[in-house]
Amino acid sequence: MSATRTFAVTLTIPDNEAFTAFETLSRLGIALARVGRADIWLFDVDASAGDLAATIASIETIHNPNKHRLTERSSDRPAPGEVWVAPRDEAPATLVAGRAIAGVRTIRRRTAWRLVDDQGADVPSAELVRAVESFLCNRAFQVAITA
Amino acid sequence: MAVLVFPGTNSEDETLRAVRAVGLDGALVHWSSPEVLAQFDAFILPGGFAYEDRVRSGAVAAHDALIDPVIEAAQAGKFVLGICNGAQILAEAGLVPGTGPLRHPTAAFAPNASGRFQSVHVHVKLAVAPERIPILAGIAPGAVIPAWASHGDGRLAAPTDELERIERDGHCAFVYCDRDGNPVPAPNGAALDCAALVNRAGNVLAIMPHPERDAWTFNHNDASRDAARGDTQAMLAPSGGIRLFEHFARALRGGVPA
Amino acid sequence: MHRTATLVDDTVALGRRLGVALSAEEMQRIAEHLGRVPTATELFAFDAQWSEHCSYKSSREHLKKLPTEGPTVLLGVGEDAGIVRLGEWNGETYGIVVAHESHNHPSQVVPFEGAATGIGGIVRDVLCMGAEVIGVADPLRFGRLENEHCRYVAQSVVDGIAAYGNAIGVPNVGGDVFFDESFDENVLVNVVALGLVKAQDIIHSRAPQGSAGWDIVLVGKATDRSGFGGASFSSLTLNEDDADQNKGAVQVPDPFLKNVIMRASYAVFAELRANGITAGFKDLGAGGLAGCSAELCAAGGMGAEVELERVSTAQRDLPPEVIAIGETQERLCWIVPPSFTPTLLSIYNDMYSLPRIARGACAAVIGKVTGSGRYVARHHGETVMDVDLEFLTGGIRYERPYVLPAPAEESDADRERVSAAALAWNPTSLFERLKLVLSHRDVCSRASIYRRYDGVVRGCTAIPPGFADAGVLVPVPGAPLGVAVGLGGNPRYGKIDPGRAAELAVVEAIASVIAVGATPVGLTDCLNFGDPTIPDQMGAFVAAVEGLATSAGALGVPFVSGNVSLYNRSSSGNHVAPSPIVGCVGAIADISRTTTGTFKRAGSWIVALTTTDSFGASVFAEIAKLDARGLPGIDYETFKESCAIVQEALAGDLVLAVRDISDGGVLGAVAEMAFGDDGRTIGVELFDGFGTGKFESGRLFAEGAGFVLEVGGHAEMDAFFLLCEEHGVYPDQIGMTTNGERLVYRHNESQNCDEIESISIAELREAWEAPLRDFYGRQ
Repeated sequence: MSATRTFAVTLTIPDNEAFTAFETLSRLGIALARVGRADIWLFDVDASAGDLAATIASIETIHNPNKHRLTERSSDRPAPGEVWVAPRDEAPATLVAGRAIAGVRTIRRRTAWRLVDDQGADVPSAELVRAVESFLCNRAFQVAITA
Repeated sequence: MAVLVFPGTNSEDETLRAVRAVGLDGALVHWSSPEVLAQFDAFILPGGFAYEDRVRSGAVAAHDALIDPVIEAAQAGKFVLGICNGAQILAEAGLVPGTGPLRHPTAAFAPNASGRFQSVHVHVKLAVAPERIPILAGIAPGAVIPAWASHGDGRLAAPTDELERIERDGHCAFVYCDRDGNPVPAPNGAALDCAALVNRAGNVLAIMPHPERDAWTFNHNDASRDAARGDTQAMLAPSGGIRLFEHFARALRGGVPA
Repeated sequence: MHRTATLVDDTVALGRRLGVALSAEEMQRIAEHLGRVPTATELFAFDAQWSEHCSYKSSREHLKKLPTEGPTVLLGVGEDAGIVRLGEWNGETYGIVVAHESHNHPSQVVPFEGAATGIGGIVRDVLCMGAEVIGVADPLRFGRLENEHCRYVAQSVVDGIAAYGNAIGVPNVGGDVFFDESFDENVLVNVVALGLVKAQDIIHSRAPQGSAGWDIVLVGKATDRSGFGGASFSSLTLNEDDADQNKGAVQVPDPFLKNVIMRASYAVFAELRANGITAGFKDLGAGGLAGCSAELCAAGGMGAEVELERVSTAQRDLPPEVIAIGETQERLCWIVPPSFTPTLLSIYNDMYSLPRIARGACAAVIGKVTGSGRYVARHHGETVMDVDLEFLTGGIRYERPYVLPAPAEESDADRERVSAAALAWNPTSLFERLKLVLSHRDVCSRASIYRRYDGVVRGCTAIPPGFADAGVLVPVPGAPLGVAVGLGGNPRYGKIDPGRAAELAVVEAIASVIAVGATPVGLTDCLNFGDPTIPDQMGAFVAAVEGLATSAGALGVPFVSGNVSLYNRSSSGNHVAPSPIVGCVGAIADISRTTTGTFKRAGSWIVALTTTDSFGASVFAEIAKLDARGLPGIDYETFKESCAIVQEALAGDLVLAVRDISDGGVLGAVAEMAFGDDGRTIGVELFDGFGTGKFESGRLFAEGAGFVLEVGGHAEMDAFFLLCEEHGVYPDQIGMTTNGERLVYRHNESQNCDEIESISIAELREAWEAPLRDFYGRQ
């Protein structure tokens, strides 16, 4: 039996990448107040996977406690209002930082984006689509996944 | 001749040296003064990690104020050369292959097949007819140029039909080869083993490997350096990768050789 | 009496509550000096300044033994980095700034960021001398790759170095890697950095004379909580249980911001020169803002008044001790006359727009230089620090008891016994043995590591990693001047005899720059040892320093900078192999005279100089499990003559390629010379040492000081032999280069003798490349 476990990693220090994305999207005329960003890690695991959360929390490449917060998600799909950007021709990895994780068959990675307006709500979906098509996703080699 | 400097650019000095070595009057233009660009008639986007390659390599810079005058100039037929990160920016800006709307890239320099940054010495070979590429005026058919492929995101990637178009319409300007010009697989897994893209008009060239890092005789780790052993002037002379800049300079002089 | 006792007790109690690493005696000295209980900020400041990392309290006494002076020294030990003379060009004297650091503890805990931060820190040390940063080189010591955690560390450290160095645009031009079980729980990540500066443009890390009233300007990243307690952390024994807690003491690097700060600082240097202004400049490292500004002012005999609320912070309500002592990365401190301050601020904040690059990053005036000799820091008007600068930065000294290790001695009988065992060992085939040696973890190709690093950015690289024993840069555009950097330091040697290992580290580093045609002009050391409170460990350290002094003294090359990393010990009690690691900077007057370490053509003679007959601690001895107890001896006079031969032979166009003899011995060197990555395919025919027996199969792998050379042709060979005779060194002819693609072993130099063995170069190369390629991935 295999299953997918999904983890989101966000920064606890200022997220300069999100800040720059915000500036660029603003320049493109998209009305927004804030950009949220997370690294999404999808692990295809089998029954032998132990305490996966503890294991990956100790792998600095995924989660560095100096600057990251790690949360497990219940779904392997984007949350409403969120878009995930992934490479189109993806060869899932089996190692991270040269290290195999017990019970983990493959590892896939996405970047999750969320655009928030000045009311704290997600921007309208048409605006999100515009942000994705004009900047967040390069259709030449990436795909965008929404809820 | 302007060499653009974005925050995170790291190859501006050696690029400017190469430009000056071929007799061009070049200057660095920083991101904080985009208004200065109006006075230049040709542009080089050097290597580095503009804006830390946030979001994607080249993506933020392709939307930066510094790039607006470059896009205008490119559309007006002026010469624009992007090297490594500069090539990624030109692809993100949609200037190469230039088959779609601006800033809606149809092809990309995507992460290497290895998933890692790699720095390896390569040779690249002209893969189109010389007249297809006016930005390198006077270049010989099948010319071979040495360079360093030092990048994490240099794998040409595009949907299949776009790759067919790139090949068919001569957008793949250079391919990877050995020192004798025999084709070799791209070290980064690039489609078509492509090392450089050119636009339709041939005035915008985006090349991944760095010719400016193998542009003086002392840079060459092969027999051409041994031949200059004991000859200080020959050792310090421009050669090898400098040829790309020589053809670029010739293009700026309206095709007249130096 | 009673009052003093209470004062000391209260201070010690405060220190314990704050978790500082100061000893009770140290806290007593502080309390008695101040005559009051120190503030938290003061106690943290002393904790950092009196840490081993900052004060060299256990080591300083011994480091005095190192030779540090000579005609090549432009700036000796004492500031953040030393400076050696490169040469003259267009009437200017150019210097090479040399700095050496370790980032061992952080790299064990968070290997990616720990290693990245190591590059970041050393680059600032070079930058603050007013120099352009032109190159880095990394000596790395990893644990066994059979161990899962070591694999993770070995991958992540390389990735961290790559991520940082590549982004800032400084080429990685050298390095070495060893694997040993003593590093399983304590990785060693050292880094050497080089800078270029004109002698007249050197900026000192001190408040200039008469600078009372000048501005203290903090430049860089917004201060945050990361890296709080870093200095004392690096002087603590690592405990697995504390690993998570320790992670807070590792700083978060930002190479992108550093890239911009470096370029902005170059623009500041130009303005200072144009205006003839002398300024003080220093990087923030251990001890944070207070440590840096205190050392700047103390070095100039001045004082400081700092207003901590003026410091740009990433988090609101940071307590004053974090603002003052925290070790947030990517920060530097200037001391400039107020008339220059607007220009300085404008370069960083407007022209290079630091606030746009990273949130909260900027240049800001945070205080003034005073003539008081005191360091005063206030936070919103409240004085949180008021101490005598001399007392704070003067540091403390310990005379640690030590027991010197017994030098490893090998009798003639031992040598004969080992030699016999080597000959008898199976496989007896020379080339099967060679394959085993070439695939040994300490010999095999490092290409899959160094190809992750950018070795050619800046366009000044003449010899990138992989072509020779040292990296070579041509740092002054248009000038024929070259600079070489080579490394030495072998943990297998360190375990047997730390003193001799240190000598051999110096010899190896010097030999590697000699091999590319450079003249050694300066040495830099990083001394990585265990817990100095244990007499055996302290003894290993003392022996190593004496070894460095012996070797550098004998060879006449001064030390200009260095670093000491102690407490490289895990909670399970394992100490790292004594690891004196040495870097050597070489100057090249005419770059057209340099050469690489790969064969250039067929028909050349292959010759070895000063080969040893000791197997001790060699790779081959380990593979064959020989009971070799000694280390290669060093005959300094012969080695010096050999170096002179190499230099003169290169100047006289007699030799085409040179390698120094290190891991893998003579035959290992010959094989690597045949693995040229430059489009040539050259084979080798080996002779059997004209019947002297010196090169019988086992001895070809013995290591030690010496060189293997490719000598041009018959005329060159005659001239080379004359040269050797003049220097009183007898060279050994090993073989010839051929047009073939094979390594062939003939009984002697006569073409008529039967071939004994033959193997394709490609097969050898595969054995050499496979181990780390399989681990790090094909590049």
